[in-house]
Amino acid sequence: MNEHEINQKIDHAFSALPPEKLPEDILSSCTEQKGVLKMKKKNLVLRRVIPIAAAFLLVLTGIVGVWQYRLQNAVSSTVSLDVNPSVEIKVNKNEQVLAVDPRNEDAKIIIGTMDFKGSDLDVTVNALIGSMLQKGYITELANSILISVDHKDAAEAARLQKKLAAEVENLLHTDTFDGAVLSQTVQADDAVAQQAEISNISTGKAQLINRIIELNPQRTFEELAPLSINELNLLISGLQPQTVTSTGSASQKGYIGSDKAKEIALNHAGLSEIYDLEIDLDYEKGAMCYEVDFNAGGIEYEYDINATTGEIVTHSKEADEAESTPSGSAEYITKEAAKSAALTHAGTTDIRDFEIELDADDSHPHYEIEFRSGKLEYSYEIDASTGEILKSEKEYND
Amino acid sequence: MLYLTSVSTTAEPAALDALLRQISRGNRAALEKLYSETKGSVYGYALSVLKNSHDAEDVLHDCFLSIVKGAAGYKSHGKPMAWILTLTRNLCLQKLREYQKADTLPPEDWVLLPDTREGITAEDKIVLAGCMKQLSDEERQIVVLHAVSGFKHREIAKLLELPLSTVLSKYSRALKKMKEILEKERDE
Repeated sequence: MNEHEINQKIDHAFSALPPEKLPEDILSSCTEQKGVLKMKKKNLVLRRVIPIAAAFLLVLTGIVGVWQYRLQNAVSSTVSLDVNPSVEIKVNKNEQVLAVDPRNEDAKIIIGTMDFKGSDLDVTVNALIGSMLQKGYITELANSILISVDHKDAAEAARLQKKLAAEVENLLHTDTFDGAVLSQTVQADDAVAQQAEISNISTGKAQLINRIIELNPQRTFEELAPLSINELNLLISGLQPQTVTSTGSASQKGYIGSDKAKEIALNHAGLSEIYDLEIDLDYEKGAMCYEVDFNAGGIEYEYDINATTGEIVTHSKEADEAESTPSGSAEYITKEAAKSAALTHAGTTDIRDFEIELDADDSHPHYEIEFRSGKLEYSYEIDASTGEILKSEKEYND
Repeated sequence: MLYLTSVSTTAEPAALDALLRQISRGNRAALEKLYSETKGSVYGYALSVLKNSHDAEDVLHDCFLSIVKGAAGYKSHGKPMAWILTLTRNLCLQKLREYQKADTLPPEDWVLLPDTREGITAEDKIVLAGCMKQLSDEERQIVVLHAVSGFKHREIAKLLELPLSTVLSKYSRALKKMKEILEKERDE
């Protein structure tokens, strides 16, 4: 019985074990990703909020008829709610709703068949928040919401912002779960409105993004527009813009955590004694990442670790500038040269299953080579600069 | 004697990369395809680490959830299986840490396995029993990664964070044991 046959039998035995069908919950979790953490987990908050929201809706339907005559059609202020669903609420000076506009697909789901025209702003906000909780857009994994108030009169805008923030905060505060509320006032601005229109987000979110870019110019609008408010809230927490009021802290529960990120980086580097450790949550190369930087033995290490999956996205190390030594790939010997060094050492040319890989991350850049000849399995490490054989092993293997 | 050292039964990396891209756009058929292509690798590796079918199924489940969540952020380096099995490994280590915290060992229930699924042959049972009982933990993981996932020894070394030479020698030892078991069985 040869190696191939044995491997095939092992493959057959293990492949027969897992369930044939993909579980339904995973299948239904597969939806288009827009940088949003959509969690289907049931949340305890719902049990409390749904009845409240339902009661409000009942009241609301009554109100519509009675207060119809008092409707005034002039838009006094625009309030937008952003989680990932983006909803804009236009109200008159009595804080009665003139229109509720969904700004994206998720918002349409949130609004459903509810009709808010003529109802009170608080009732509307309550019902919308309830729906977001119920539909799993606000969860303990992504607990942030942005409230933006646009009103000609700055003092009036600030008053409304404060009032709504307090209300929403109260609504998202339970024994098991705390929401994080960002609130701001915005001034109508055509440029921002246009940016918002193009990216299918609310002007409130567009303005928040512009504020982040002001403080961190490396960011681009396009890059940040698909992020959820929870993700933006995590990015903003290090920047502390004065124009945005923030209460509660954005959830990192959907992420592996900075301790875990540190562990992954140290495991990968094979180190335990380090100094100057810095861990930041950031948005890198299309995903939320932990940036883990540290020093050890005169070498600076930098890791970007995917905050959701724990995957190492990038890693690099370089000598502290003071101790830097010049090195470059141009100085490496070719793969052919490395191969021939190994074959000469092994004293054979009749080989199979040849594999070669350059390990340049190492402090000693080297080629790793494996091959077989007859019943022997060889492995070599060849210095990539000098061609010197660093390590050679052969093993009998029938 | 000429034979292939790698019995890659999983699809080409480029094909898996394409599936992952489609999954990030919400394509469920792509997800089902990826599942059928890689479930053996994920489950096989999880079982060889955890030795408990219940936990292995949990990991299989959570791994595919992570795949769906992570597909948009997945950056192809041409090694989709390495990415998937790194997710698997992290989930397995998490399980083991939970057991460690509770100061217990995962119950080894692989014995119950063969009767729980259809299409498992008498020989499969012997192979499974051999892998689970006769091989050390590392030997089993190495052999399964090579045989089921088609990993090269170098890739196994990287995933398990072991020196290549260790992987090679453990692999040969494990294969020798399996050969003895299978040949003994055939002769009886």
